[in-house]
Amino acid sequence: MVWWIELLWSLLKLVIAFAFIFITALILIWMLRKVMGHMQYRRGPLHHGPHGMWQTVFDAIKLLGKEDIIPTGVDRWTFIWAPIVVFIPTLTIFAFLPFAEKITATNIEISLFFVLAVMGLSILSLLMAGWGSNNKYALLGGLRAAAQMMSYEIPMIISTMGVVLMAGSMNLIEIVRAQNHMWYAVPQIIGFFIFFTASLAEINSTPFDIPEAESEIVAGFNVEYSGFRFAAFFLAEFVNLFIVCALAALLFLGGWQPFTNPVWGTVIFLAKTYVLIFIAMWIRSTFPRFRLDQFMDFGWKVLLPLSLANLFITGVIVLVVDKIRSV
Amino acid sequence: MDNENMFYEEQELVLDDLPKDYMEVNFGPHHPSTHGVFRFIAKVDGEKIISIDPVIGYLHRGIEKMAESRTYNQFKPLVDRLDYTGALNNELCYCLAVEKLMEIEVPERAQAIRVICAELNRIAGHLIFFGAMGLEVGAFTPLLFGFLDRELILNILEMLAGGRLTFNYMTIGGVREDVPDSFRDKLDRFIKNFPVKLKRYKELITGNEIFINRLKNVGILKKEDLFNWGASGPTLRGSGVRFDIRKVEPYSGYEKYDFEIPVGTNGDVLDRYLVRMEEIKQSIRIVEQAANNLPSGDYTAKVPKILKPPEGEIYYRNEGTKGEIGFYIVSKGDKNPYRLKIRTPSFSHINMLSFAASGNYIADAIVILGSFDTVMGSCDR
Amino acid sequence: MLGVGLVKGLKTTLRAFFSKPVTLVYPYRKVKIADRGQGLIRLRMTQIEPSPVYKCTGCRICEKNCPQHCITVVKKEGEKQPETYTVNYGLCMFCRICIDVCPFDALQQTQEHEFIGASRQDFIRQKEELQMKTVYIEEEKKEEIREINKNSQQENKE
Repeated sequence: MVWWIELLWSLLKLVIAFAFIFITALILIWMLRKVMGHMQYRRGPLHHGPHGMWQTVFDAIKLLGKEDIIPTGVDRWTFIWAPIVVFIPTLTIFAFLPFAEKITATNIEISLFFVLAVMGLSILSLLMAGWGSNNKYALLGGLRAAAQMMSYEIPMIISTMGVVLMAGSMNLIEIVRAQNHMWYAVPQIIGFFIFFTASLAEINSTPFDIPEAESEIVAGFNVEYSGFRFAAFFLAEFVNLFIVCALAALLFLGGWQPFTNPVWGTVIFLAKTYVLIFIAMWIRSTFPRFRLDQFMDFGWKVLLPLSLANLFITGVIVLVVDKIRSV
Repeated sequence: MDNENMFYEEQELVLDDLPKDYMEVNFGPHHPSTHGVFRFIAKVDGEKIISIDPVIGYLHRGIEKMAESRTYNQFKPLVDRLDYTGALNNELCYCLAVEKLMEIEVPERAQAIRVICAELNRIAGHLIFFGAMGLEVGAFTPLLFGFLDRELILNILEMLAGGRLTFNYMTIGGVREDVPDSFRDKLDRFIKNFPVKLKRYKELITGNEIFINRLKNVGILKKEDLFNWGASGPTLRGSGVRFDIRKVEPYSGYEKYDFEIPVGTNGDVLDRYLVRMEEIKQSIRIVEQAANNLPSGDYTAKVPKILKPPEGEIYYRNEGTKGEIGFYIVSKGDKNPYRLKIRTPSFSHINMLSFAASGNYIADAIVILGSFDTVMGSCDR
Repeated sequence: MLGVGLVKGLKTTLRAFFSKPVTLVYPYRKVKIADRGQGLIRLRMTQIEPSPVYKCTGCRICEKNCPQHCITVVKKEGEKQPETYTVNYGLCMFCRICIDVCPFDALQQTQEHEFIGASRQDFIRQKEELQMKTVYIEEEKKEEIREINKNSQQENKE
């Protein structure tokens, strides 16, 4: 009797997590359109629902109803599976994010390590989409995406190592508990800046949206997708944005820190995440995009040495402080 | 020699019979970044461009042939549709060409009103360039800022001429109607409020380091090459050539106004961008001087109802928004012109693209095309 | 390297975020068009009520001068009014040459610009649809223009 109740309980938690993701994606798309609109002296969507809230729902329903076009000459297996593979890393990571002290879908000892490892799988889906569409624009976009995401993972991962050194554990809940005196954004300010920039590059958001640069290779790897397959890529981009900002809030801004109560903890955690999301959308409305070689220069010649220097200095300071405390 | 044994004899592999060619990518007529319907086929090696093959003609409407079956007055509304971002400059060139052929004297008030219209339209055209340049490098906001400020200019022109994109305001001999009563107030308010917007553009994108790094040292063109390809306008002035038809062969009273010509030094895309931004300021100076000293008098000369120019031919040019616009008219004494040829700047500039973009990245080729500021209505006619 | 210019750009967008948007919610609110705006061209009337009397006498000068050949006039011998006056607004480019050459001042430009149709035949208008709503009085030409604007805007709101 007991085993199937446990199974049902885990399945229910997963279903709640998935539902939360899709609702978050819809909210984020609406938020982007409104924020970008107001920054350009206009209003965003306005007519469906109060302040246009149901606009994204109707857009998603419209995309579901479109004809499913598969062009001739595509590699069928990669073309059909690419939009499904793009959700695998996001859903997996989502199961490990803690919203408050006890609210998380699952919890393991090295959850940060697992999250960062799984995030690297998202390159695979872009390559599959780029190669599988029988189109030169898509191929250019897919190859650019592979180069970009592989080179910016390294500074991102190394900048989180400073946090791990200061907290002493790789469990996300432990890291947040260790920030009860001071948020890690204050001593690790360089690490915060590097993590935020590198993670914006990971999720292909302007000024780093070279794989889907709209003015040169129209929509990049997305160009042959229509209907619900396109909706899958589009939603996955926004869910990735939420996940990256949530990770930044957990690692550097203290998660749910002043409150240990589950309800208030979740509220303050979501508030911090949404502030970071607003900053990402603000940057998206303002800056132009890098050229590919300038962008690689920035990643390998600026961010990587800075993150290594940050790790070195953090290690030295932690060692010295420990020695002073034990004496 | 090292693989010799008694079992077999190895054949040498010849790797040269694998076919090798560069990848051809087609940037088709539907593209967010070619200004209008323009197609080019690029041979690409990875990300570097080897050569570009432009294909034009998607917007050809046969305007030059239509001129042979219409009278001079009936053809005038069609001239607006050539370079539709700065339509009044086209009309000005055509009207001046026919007036010179028929030796009609235009009164001074009409000349001053024509100068105000032409310079306001030049500012509007450069604002579209500003918006499109922002879009080519990937920023969405400058486009909307440019179009928003263009509304101020289009409201003034709507009050004066009646239209917002194609005006049909100038006639052969003057302008169609006189200036309305509240025109002066609106123009003064515009002149006072506009420099604030220019400062905002400078903060938003001209001072942005990412933007400057994208445009600096890209697409450098030297003077001799530009002369060979027939460039004119801000494209030519970005490379250091101080040539502006308004100063060299003044028309319609331009010799009375005091303005400067901005000139670039390097010849790269950033210089062409800065030349156009500086020209906006000089145009505001001209509009202010013309509006302050508006002479009194007639707004049109007396012309016969049916125009029959004497036999002869004429070529007349003026400085449009994007370069030199020229009209060549051959008349045999009839109501209709015998042959009318239009020389537009966009046609010459588009053919420079292959020369200017070889050896650069694809992203740079798009930016270089944006810096030439072509409009397909003018290229294809 | 990356510094002050970026921060200034961010400041500009943030200022735009907190200011009032400049767009109007069309079609609930509309922009006022200037008096000289190009719109539909209508025939002037000298009398509307018992029977319509147009100022046009059917001399066909506008038909000869139109560059796009969109006006067609049919007039019988000995009558003072045209029998049919057809304008194809799908071809018209609103160049106003017909208004300029008419010797009787029989055409008037209005500011109506919102007309839609489901097929090309919807744009061919006959002389009954092209009547002006008010009567043309010699001295009070300006009065007539303002009447037209109000009437056409009221029609659009219904």
